[in-house]
Amino acid sequence: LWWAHSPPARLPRPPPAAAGSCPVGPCGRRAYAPPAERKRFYQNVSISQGEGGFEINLDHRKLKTPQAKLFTVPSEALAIAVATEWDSQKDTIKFYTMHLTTLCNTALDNPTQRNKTQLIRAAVKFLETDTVCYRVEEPPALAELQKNEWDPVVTWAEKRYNVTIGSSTSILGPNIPASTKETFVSHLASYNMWALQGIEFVITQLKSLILSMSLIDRHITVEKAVLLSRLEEEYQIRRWGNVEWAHDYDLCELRARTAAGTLFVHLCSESSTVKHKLLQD
Amino acid sequence: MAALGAPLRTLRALLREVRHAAGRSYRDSPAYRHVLAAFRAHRVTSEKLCRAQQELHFQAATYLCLLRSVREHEALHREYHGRGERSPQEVAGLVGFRLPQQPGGKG
Repeated sequence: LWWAHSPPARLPRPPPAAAGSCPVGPCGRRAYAPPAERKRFYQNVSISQGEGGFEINLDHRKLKTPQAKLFTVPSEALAIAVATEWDSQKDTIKFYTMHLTTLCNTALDNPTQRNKTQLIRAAVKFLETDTVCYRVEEPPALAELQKNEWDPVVTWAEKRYNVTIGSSTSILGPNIPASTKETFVSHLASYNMWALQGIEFVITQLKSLILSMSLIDRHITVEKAVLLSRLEEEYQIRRWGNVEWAHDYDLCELRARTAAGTLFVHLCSESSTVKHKLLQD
Repeated sequence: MAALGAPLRTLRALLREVRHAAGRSYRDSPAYRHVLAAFRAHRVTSEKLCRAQQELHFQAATYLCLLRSVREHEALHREYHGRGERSPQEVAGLVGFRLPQQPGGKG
């Protein structure tokens, strides 16, 4: 499909290297303009079921991944969500808003070519530099805020997984015992490959294994996880003021990616069955 | 369990977001029908704390967060980051100058 074609966007003309005034082009073109986006080339988006799973149809064409594999997802709800992403594109296609599609493509293509063990290792490695374990000593207001907001999550994780994690104010970070890492490794091994891609993605976004696990275990909401991940930024915003085009922009992007990752994990690791109870007379 | 609030509130907000995403014929869109069907299917239960219900509510809240933040992010991008650089004429016009038409600064 579109990815199989040659690269779509014309690269912007580089700014002239000559010193002095910038010459105006014949049509008065800007030195830099954002690259032209691919227009929406399809009318209808629909879902169909194939042998491998659910597929997305853009008009009559089947959606393919960047490596030209057929785009197949195991879950119908996930296929519906991806179809909604494609359907919600107005005139131009904005790939940076299509997080679920990107996640599915990553799971299907595995461009970094990591196997399950490597993915789990990458995920658990984050524990050594987990955000909620790194504490400051000053300013005291921030240290207090970290203690009040992050301690409950760490305690929850320690109780839920029966491990020791702790926190640290030193630059080296907390000392995570090997048994803790092994517990997380064996817990993550229970997820399938697709769900693991999603988990690793969420961990990379939130910069915290503990927050990601509490999100995936449904202990906190996405908004709360993002807030805890950005705790120091929120503290500074409250102190110095909010800059919409930077802070809100980053906040919305982080929320979108984290929500997409979490939804992806849940939709890839569930199997729903409807059990009908007998009606009592 | 996460503090989620009332499921009805989440459902209404989610349906509103799906309307935004789907456009004119939102009621026929697969997302709208799927969300409604899922909520209806989980409504009838005799248990007080139904795990499947809570899971569905959490999923709905997560999807709502996704749709809402994508919409807000796109709006912010359009407003602040979507316009590229100003042309030399615009930059000159910011301080009230005009670019010269002839080399050497005359005219």
